[in-house]
Amino acid sequence: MTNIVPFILDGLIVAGYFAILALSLNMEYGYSGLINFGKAAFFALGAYASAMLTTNGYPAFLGVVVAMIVAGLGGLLISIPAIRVKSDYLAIITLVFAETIRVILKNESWIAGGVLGIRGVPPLIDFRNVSYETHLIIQAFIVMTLFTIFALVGWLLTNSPFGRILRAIREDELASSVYGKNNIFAKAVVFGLGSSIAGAAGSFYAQYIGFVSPDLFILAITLQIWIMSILGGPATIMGSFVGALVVISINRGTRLLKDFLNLPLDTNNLMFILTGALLIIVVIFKPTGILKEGRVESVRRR
Amino acid sequence: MGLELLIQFSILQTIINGIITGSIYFLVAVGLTLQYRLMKFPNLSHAEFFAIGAFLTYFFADIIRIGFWPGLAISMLLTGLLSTAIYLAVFKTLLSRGASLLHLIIASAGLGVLLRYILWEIAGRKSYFFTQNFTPFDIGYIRLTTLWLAIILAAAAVFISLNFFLSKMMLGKALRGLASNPVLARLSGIRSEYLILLVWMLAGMMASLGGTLRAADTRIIPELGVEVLLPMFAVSILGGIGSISGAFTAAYILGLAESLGVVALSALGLSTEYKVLISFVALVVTIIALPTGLSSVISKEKVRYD
Repeated sequence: MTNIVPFILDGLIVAGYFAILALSLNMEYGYSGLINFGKAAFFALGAYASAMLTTNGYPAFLGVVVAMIVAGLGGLLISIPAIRVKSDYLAIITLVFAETIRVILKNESWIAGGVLGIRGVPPLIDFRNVSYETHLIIQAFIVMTLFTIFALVGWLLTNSPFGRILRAIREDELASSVYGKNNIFAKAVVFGLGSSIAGAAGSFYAQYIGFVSPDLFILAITLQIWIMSILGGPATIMGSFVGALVVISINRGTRLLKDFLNLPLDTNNLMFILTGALLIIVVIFKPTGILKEGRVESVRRR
Repeated sequence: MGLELLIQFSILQTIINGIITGSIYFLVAVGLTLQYRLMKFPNLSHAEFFAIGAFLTYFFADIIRIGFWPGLAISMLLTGLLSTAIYLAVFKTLLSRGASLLHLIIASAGLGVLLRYILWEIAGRKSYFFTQNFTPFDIGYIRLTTLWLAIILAAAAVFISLNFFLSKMMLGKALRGLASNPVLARLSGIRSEYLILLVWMLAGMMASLGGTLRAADTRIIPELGVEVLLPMFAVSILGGIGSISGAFTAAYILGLAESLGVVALSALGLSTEYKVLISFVALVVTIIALPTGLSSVISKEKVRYD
């Protein structure tokens, strides 16, 4: 087993960027009670923005920044019609937005490479000429750093007075507006921020796997992020990471088990069938997740 | 044929295409809109029953070979039963555990992906076709086939019979009562559980009918459901949740807009896949400008949805 180290490192990196995505969903769903079925679209916006810039010769670092800006603006834009309405309309409109974005990316061959996507996206920091293992370790380090930064941002935000407004909106929107809080503003900010973080994950993803194509950003991916977010624990920061790690382990485990048992099933189909089933099971049996929501730190008694 | 006649002819053909698309959208959206009104959550997996219905018809019509129409009948029955069984297994369990609106929507999304990839696993990534032939005939300059006639008649029949059922029959009135005030309806002795089962059954049956007819017009692939997902939601929200006549009007508006849009897109040299933008724009505009949908405009009955 010489290839066990890259296998584990790759799993860790995948869990890392999924943890960032789950964290961004957690800020929207866990803390503020907003349903977003378009996570994959903001992920895609970030990935494509970064891929288009860096393949045209701009520095890889700039790709991350622009990806965050583009995805964040996309989030703010979709929040204009979606945030004022009830949560079921929000679910529909984000779902429809994601499908529309995917169709546009698929058909705009002059800007986004069409069905084939964009190939040859350079990594953020390139260590492939040293050794493949070193390169993977560096990438794992980058994604963990990104997650730490966003986790810190998320922790500070959700334990601030603004975070208390978000929790109030989740529990009772009417009560929050009675206390004079601007619900729509708060929801738009968290939606924009969540999308922007998803964009950063998208940029890292494009730079790590080296290409983007529309078929990578399907609804099933959004649902995987949902499972991570719910299973890890809604309204917890570390829950995102725990959830991502558990789901990625299950995915990798079934892939190994399938090869081991020689099942005549398509790997992709099997993975997404399990994704759907797992989501239903989690929502029925464990909707509160593994980790529990903590107290708001800023109001703790000394 | 002169040029003017040719233009007139193609406009007529475009309108007929729009009516056929609209009929299909109505058949798939009407089940969703009834379900949505009664259960108070959008069932994101509804579009998959559209594809499942088409595959079941294919199985009975072309593998067991009992003919297209008997196959369609059996498929409608089985899809309806499947939809009901899934309600009992998933959503009733969730409701009895006191799940919130968010959890119901999330579970329906998971269910949709589960069903879609099971179809993909069984059918693979190729297209199937019905062996049934539909004879074409001409009315004036327009070419129709018996299939297109069947699509239009099916939508009209569903529309008329559902309207009759909801406004004249006791069971239909009970259903409307249950949808608008569940507590009061239960207090007046309406058996809510049976009515909910009936709605899931009807939704599955109409999805299967629409899916089979769409598949006969195009091809049978697992993506049939994804193709109607966006128009389906656009129709039920533009029409107003739970309104049959609203959905009927909205379906034909969207169908015509799409078929005119396809003509415009190909004239501009753009991909016709951009017709999904029409659904997207219709949804966004409705949610901003008229959140209660067309039903509040076309009927006196106010749809109160909360």
